[in-house]
Amino acid sequence: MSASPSIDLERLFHEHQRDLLAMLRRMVGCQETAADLAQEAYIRLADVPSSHIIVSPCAFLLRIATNLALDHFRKQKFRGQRQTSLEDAEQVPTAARPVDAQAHDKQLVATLEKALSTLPDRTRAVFAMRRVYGYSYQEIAMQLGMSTRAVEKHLVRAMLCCQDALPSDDLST
Amino acid sequence: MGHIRPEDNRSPGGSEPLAPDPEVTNEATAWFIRESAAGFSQADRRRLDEWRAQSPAHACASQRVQALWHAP
Repeated sequence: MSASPSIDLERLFHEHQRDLLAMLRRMVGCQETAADLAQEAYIRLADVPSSHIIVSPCAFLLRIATNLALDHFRKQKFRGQRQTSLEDAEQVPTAARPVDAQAHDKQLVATLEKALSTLPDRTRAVFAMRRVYGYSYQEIAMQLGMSTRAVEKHLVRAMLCCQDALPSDDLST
Repeated sequence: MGHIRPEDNRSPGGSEPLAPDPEVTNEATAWFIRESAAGFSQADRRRLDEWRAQSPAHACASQRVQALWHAP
């Protein structure tokens, strides 16, 4: 491998491997996946062209790892949706989900998206990081430079906004 | 907590669901968000369970916010 001369991979590995693994494990909730992602992060770091000067290799490594974890969440979410659809199809061969229920879901999503679009960017970002990517409150606080209490307040605000947007019995089961 | 039915939050003698009380909705939402915080303790858990058991409206509001979180 011909990493950028500004990157001492061996030193990075020895100094940050434990923290990197711990961070990834917290994000993805699985030791094995965390180890895979950490390895991939080192490989990508090693692939940085030698012409590139990395000012902070450690921060760069963490950024690569975070992006890999986000990719992992996206793939997992897609896989989960696909699997659920297939399971539904097996259980109810003629109609996995009634058309009116699908239409209801679509309407629900549109209503929620419209409601969320009225929120400040920061509130939307906090909501997406928690709801879509599964970040912990501490991770969100760290990444966005706010307290965990502030993260909670943004989440409450987003959830209240969504509830206000829905008819009172729309979520009853 | 038993299974909560939508009719638990209906007007007395009526079939129309009651509009959720904003104060109860606020409280249910705050509890729901706090429940996932790192510092949520066993004592907090007991207080949340007690709050849910206080009235069907609390239980319904709690269920509603959970359903919203897991909405498509």
